[in-house]
Amino acid sequence: MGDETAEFVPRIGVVICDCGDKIARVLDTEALLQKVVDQSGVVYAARDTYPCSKDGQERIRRAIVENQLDRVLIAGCSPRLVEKLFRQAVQPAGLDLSYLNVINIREHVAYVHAGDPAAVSKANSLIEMGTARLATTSIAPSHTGRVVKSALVIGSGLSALTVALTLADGGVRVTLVEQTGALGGSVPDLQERTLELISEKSKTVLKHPLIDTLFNAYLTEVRGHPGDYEVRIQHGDQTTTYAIGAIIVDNGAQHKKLGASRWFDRNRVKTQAEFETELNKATEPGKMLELNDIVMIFCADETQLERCSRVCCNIGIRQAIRTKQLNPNVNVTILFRELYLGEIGGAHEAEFIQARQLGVTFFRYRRDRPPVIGDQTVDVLDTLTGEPVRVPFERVVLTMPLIPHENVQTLAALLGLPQDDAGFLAEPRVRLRPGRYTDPGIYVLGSAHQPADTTEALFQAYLTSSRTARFLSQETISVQTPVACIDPALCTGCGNCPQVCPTLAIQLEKRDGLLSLSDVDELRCIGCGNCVVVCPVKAITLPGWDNIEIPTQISAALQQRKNGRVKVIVLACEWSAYAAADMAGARRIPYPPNVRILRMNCSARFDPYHILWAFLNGADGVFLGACPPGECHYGTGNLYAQERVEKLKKELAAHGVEPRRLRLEFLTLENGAKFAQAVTDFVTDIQTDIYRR
Amino acid sequence: MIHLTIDDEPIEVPENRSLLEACREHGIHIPTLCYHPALEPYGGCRLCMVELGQPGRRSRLVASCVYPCEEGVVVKTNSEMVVRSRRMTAELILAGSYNTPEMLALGAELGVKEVRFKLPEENACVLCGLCVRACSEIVGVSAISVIQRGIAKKVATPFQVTSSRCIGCGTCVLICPTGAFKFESVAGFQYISPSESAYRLGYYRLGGELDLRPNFVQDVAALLMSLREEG
Repeated sequence: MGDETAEFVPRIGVVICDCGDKIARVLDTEALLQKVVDQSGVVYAARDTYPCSKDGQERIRRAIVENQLDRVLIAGCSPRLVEKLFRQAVQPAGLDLSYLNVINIREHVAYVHAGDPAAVSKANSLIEMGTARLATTSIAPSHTGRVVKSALVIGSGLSALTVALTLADGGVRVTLVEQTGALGGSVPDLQERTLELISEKSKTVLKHPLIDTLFNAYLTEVRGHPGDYEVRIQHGDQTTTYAIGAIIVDNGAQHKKLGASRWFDRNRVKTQAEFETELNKATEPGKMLELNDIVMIFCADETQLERCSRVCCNIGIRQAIRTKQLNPNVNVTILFRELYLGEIGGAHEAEFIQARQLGVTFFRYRRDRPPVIGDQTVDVLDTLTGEPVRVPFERVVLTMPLIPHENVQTLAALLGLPQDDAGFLAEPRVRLRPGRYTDPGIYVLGSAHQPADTTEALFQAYLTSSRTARFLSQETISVQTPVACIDPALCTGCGNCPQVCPTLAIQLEKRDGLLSLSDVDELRCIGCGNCVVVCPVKAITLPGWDNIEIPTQISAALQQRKNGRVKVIVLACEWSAYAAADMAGARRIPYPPNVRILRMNCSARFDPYHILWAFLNGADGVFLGACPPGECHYGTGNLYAQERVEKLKKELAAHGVEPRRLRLEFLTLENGAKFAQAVTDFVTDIQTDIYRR
Repeated sequence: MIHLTIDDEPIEVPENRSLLEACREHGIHIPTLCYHPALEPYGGCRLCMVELGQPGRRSRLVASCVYPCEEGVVVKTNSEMVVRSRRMTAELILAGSYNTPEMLALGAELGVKEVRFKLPEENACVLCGLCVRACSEIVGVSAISVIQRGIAKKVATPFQVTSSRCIGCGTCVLICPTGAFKFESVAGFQYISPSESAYRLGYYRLGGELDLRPNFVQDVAALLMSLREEG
């Protein structure tokens, strides 16, 4: 970025929008223009009725070329609506998109301060802040990375084998990692045809030239970014490093063990898996099932009341049918709470009907009146008749829920995947990248994601294969948004930034044999700016939201401070508070005109240093607006902001500044009225505080 | 360049302009509801109707936001026919949104004195389609669309369940002219709460061992020094 030389003076152009008469009606744009012309760096300023119209865009382009503008500021309506339009408009004129700034004088000024004489000076001040930002900002370079045509499959269940085969048939080199010594994984729904399918596929996998199968192997390290991971795998005694384009996780699930929290007579009380073995023995020639009364209890584990394991009902009904077919005289009773028979094609529905025809008795029990296993009988309250029923038993078969494998936590930590409350690798965490995990190169399927039966697992496998193939077919992947950049000469390797990075984009690298240098993976960085805040030596920069731009904007906002009028700086996360301010404008909810709203990317970027800078430059209060906990678009930025504000308040009090002058408010984008109210309260609070002195 | 007459004034416009754009460019106000400069025109609300006279044809009403400028046409934006059409349209739109202040203001501007028709159920959504188009054209995710036909027509997510495509930017909420848009029905509360334990771990290691405090003090001292030098 060689334009930060001493002689360099940016040529800034300002276009003030009248918005028909929507802005001009309440704001004297002509007077505003006269003020803007005098601002330093501004070489061109104009009013336009509709800069967003096709002719207006043409006028902006012409102005850029004729006046050799290298930075353009458009003061109009919300950038959330028109920034994309203006980006497309100025690009043909050769302007870098980092040098376009759209500020909002409609929703933030004209609509909320109608009739207020301070409106023009607020608009002017907003433009000053905008030009200050433009004058100090730097270009955000775009980053590209290669895509390696290879995939890593973790696990060897049915879906893993299917994905591996489909990808390998499409010409992708596949590395399959299996923790045990044999392929197959676990089969949660205990289906015979699944076992056949698996053995068939296993044979093909082992023979396939493009599939590299590693037994007794596990992941030890994952580095890099989507499309180009560097994966270390330990297998046997040796560790190998692989270059991998996409990672597919299918480490399956397992049945929970029985009797961890309660005692059972294990001779007569069995789990479904144990009963399956018993049945298989009884089917052998010369053997028979020596039982008369069997009671099956579905949803036997407490956790199944909250979360359906989706395979147990089907296993149970199938076992009941097999029992009846072996010996029609056996009494089979099924106690259920809800039946899950969902399979594509309705095969389970047919099995249910068959079981009823074979004479299996079904009782539905209530959640608050679970069946009680007695000495010889099971007591249950039938919901249909409301009568208590006593069923004698020789064998009780309990369903056990599916739980993730023990290694799932390690995997989640290595790959940065979120887990739900049961430990499964849950759906997307960040709404920034919907339909996917944080990482576009990582896919989770099968029972690792949530319990799945055979059909579902196969569906997911083919879906994942096509998605992976599509991802791997790209030549390169690129990121256009601003990302953090670390100056290696300044970095001391303190290790702060890797700990706060929400996407594992920062890793510590070795320098002179020591882990002492932070390195950003540009393609994984989402630009929240948390690392910039925690860096003690300010070695990290984030174009657009840097340590130069924000303080200059704050200084510009506080420049024309008048005596007697309180001035408040609002640092607003663009997903919450900035949007809420837009909303307040759209709904014409007024608030004091002496607040200056700074658009920030995330509350993680609310730097205590900048807040102090505002106070030192004469701000009477600093108001921070962040997303409510759990709704941050960058993970947990708002929690960091909260923690920092608490600490800073103590610090301010120690230095003689009222902690009341700093406030953090959680807002959603619909909270227009709440935003206006909170800001008004804040200003009034400070004002009375000043008068009291 | 195309030459046409708008409200008795000869006007020259470049090619590929709609009548509405030409009017706006020349400072002629035309009321709109479904038009937004950042979006493709839609022609849904019919408030931007103008009277179009072509040589040798009877004059007729056209939606100016989607009608291109043509050589030699005569456009009237304020004739009796236009005013009556707009007023009627506004009245019909108001039939479903008779309590919405934004719509009442628009109606008053177009000369609707009282709301004659009232649907039994009020719905502030006037189906202008701004939210749907903003979601696909500005944000580029298409999390919402217009579903069903006729009187049952409404804006919803696919299958009317909270959308996984929605990134929660809120552009739809901001662009809605009547404040009818219900953000929750689109975005819902599908956020999986971030693993707070991981955050705590990171933060406390940071806060406990290194502490942000020394930095603050240094920063404050340095700033005070620099200010003293300047002042």
